[in-house]
Amino acid sequence: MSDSREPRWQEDFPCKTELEEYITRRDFLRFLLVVSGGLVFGNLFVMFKSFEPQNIGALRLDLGPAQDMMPGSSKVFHYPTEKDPALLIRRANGDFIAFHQKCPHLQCPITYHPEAGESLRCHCHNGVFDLKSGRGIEGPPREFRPLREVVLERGERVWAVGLSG
Amino acid sequence: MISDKRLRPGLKGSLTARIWIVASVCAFQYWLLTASMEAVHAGNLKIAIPAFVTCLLCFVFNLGLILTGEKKLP
Repeated sequence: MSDSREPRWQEDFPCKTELEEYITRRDFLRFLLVVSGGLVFGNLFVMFKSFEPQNIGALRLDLGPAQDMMPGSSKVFHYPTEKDPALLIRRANGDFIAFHQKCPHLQCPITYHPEAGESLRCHCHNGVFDLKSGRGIEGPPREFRPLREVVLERGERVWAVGLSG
Repeated sequence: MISDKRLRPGLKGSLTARIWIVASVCAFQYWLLTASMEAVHAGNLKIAIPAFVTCLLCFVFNLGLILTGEKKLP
């Protein structure tokens, strides 16, 4: 039986918009359970990510002639894998130092600033690192581990030979 | 407006309470995921397993709460 107030076309297309948009508490609870399960998978992914090897052993990588880099300059290279960007720095006093380029806070790239006392900075959240130790001295990186240092060997050429720690 | 007249008022209240509890646990799980991800990025790898186990326990708690609730429904 059709409602006499309903237009004729609704007999052929009995679609009730109000019912279509109606979500029961039961349905909403089930949806929340799916969200909860999704978050478990997210944590599972993070756990597997933490099992990835952190150091793949001693690997020598040629970073080029030492004289090619001017004091107060830097260049990016990848060590130990192509997924690990690192920053080779030639300090104002001529020393070489290298760190992994990802900020330990949220993985933004860090850059070398030779001006005003030399520093490493992360521009995402204004983090500043100590150039000697790689430790965060300003901003969110203070709460995290220091930057990972790449061990260098220097002769006429500069070589990356391992990771500290 | 559609009202669910099939449910007794007490049952409706308990369902609403379940929704709040499960939603709060989901919010906690979300926080746990972001915190563990940040910790792993920061090199604190030991946190990942306890965070996963806690998240799994939260899911089991939610599942239990929903299943026991479903049994009471008509």
